[in-house]
Amino acid sequence: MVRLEQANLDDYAAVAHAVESAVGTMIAGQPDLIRQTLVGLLAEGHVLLEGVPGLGKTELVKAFSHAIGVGFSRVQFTPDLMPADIVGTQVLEEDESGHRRFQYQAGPVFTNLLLADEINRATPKTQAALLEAMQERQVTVAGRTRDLPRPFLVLATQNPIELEGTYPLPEAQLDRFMFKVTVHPPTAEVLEEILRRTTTGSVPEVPLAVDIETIASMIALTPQLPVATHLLQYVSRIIEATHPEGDTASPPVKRYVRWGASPRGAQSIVLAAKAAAMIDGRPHVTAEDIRWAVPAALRHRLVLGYEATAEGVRSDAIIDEVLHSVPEPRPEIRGVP
Amino acid sequence: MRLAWLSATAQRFAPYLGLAVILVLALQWSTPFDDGWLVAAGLVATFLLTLIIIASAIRITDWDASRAAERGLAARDALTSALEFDDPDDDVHRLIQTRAELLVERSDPSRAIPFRADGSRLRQSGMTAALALLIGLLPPLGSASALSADIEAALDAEAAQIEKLAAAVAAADVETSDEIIAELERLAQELRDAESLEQALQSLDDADTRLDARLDPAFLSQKAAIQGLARDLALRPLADGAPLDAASQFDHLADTLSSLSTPELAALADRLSDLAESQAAGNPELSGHLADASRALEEGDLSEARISLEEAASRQRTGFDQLSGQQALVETSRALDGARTRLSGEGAGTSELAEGGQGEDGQGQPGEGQGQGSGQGQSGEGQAEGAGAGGQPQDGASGEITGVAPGDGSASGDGGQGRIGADVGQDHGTDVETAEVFAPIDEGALADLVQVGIDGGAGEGDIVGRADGVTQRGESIVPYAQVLPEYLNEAADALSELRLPPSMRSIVQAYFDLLAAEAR
Repeated sequence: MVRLEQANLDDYAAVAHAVESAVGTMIAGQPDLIRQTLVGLLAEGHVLLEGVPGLGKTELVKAFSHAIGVGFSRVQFTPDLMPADIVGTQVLEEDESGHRRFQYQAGPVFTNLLLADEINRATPKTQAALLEAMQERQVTVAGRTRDLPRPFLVLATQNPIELEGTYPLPEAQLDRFMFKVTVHPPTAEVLEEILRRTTTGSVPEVPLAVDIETIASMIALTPQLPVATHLLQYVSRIIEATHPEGDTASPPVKRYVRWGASPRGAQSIVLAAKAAAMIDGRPHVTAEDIRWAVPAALRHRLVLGYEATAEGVRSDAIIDEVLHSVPEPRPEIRGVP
Repeated sequence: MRLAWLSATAQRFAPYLGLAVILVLALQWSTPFDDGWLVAAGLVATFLLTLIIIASAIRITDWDASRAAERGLAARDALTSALEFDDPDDDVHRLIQTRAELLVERSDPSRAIPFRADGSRLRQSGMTAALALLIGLLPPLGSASALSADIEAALDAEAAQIEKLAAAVAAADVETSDEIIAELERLAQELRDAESLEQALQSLDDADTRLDARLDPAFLSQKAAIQGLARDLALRPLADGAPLDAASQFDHLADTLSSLSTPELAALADRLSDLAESQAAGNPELSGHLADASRALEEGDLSEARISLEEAASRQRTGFDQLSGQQALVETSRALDGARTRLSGEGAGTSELAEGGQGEDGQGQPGEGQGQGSGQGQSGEGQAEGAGAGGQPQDGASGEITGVAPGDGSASGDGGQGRIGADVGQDHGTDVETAEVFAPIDEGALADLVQVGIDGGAGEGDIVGRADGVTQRGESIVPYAQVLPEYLNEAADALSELRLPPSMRSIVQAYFDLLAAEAR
């Protein structure tokens, strides 16, 4: 148990901001993306990045690895990618004495930050291998289980516009990602800044902002931050409101949502809110933390129905409606603010 | 927090309260229900009282207070978290407590539970309150509309006129002055306070009815008898050198009885008997005294005759006093009728512009018509007929009675201007039954009104006098014996020329035969 002091919180908040600043030297104009990735790191939740190619997703992972001084691997998922290509495999080796034996050759999953690029291009079998590692934070090869290094964060990417020849992740596997972050194209001003940084022949160097021990402490402390009961109830009501069969579901939810968010979604919200509080240097979670975490935590967990697809209704619109329909906890006395 | 709840709840329900008040006031406006404002005030008071009671009894938990305060202070769940996580042995809890305390120390407590104004609700409340006020101030549905400036001015003018009339009555100091003055002052106030023309007219009618109730039903006959006696004695005094007025003559006669000769006493007895007979209908008490005096003189009882004469004098004076009081009632009632006519014209002129009238000035149609009266003098010395044609407009402004027209002293005379001659002239053959006309007047004074009946529906000229008229001193007082021959000739001509219906010939013939016999 790590003892929590205000000084720790202040230090951690400073570290978090330093990390964001360091990553920001490489990734221009994406503060939300950086914050959500950092929250995923602190909450030990994996992040699914969705965006067209060329938006800097790989650079984001690289920048994070440099900023926090941890290892980094990148796997380009293709249809012929095998599970062993990710988790590693046993290879037959012959020593000097002529004895042959199987030697485990670790896969790229044995790293702190893993970029699973275009994860939906691999076969489900390969995807399942990665997702097992994401959930269990360990891999089992040839009957032997091996722990993955900590911290361990998978940042998977999906291309939303090129779906031919892909294997969309099933809902059960999507549920293992804490966040699904939509990477938007940069604005003109941001693009100008990107051009200025990347077309001079020199690549911006991301400074080391924190040591791995501090990051580990922050990751360990994050779950300890308490969440008041009324905020847990708030999260529960939000999740309940995403279920179309529920009494509290709003008409849009009843119409467009086929399946609501899972309990894992609620866990993701609370953990993300705690990480957000940690970044903010607070010892407790607020309703604002929760509202901030909800879109990224739920947008890939809502299974929309045919009507939503036909009418072009996206998850984010449903989530906005849910947040609007579920009021923040307030005194039972009507009229009191 | 209770006050914040009170404020927020009051704002929330105020529009509904306003609607309830509007309903109550609308009920008052549209029905005879008169206590709308009282009930509305009761509703508001009950509403506020209920809110206060509930606010004082409402249960407010620590969490409610903390949550409300941290929302007011933008404390972002710090207070509720501190309330929940309060283990002093827990580092995290202690840290949360410390942060909450710091936050509270740096905050302004007055901002913890802010009073919030709901603009939408307040606007709705204001609109309903304004509407309620508007409905509450509306005159009741079905009543006259609010007084126009013209009508209000007319009412004030009439009230002023009535006050002047009251002053005049007070100056006259007649027997009924006090009652009339009180009635007039009350009426003037009611006119000023009237909220509608109808109400003012009703006040006038009520006052007129009350004044009429005080009027002696035998007023006209009394008036004719007393004034006739006075006039007769003025023309033909009971004794040479006697004063002109009747009462003084009786006193004078009582004092001088002993100096009269027997023939004079006999003649006096006859004269007194005639006078007694003339007073029998209108003034029976005086008639009795005169008859007693006459009888006593015939019996030679001078002392008894003297007493009766003195009583007769007293009665004549009393009768004059009573007559003055009654006359004042009549004049007052007449003035109120005039006021009512003017106000009615004001209302019609203002609201409807009655045909032929001038709406702006409130003038009615000019009156035009004829009146006829016939009367017989006290001693039978003369007859008079008067015909009046009036063209006086019933002017809303003045309304004065301007009919001043002495009779010409002959058998026929011109009457004054008919005050409501239009009624007479236009109502021949209609259902009008009575009308007021001017009779010949006494000594050139203002014309007196007498009531004559009109047999409605019979066509023009069917006017039958119901009261004795009064004749004017002078040429109109002519002994009928002097005119009888001429009348007999006329009657004979009428009979011979068949101008009379056969059924009436015998009556006319008998009448003139009787007169001729008496003349002989």
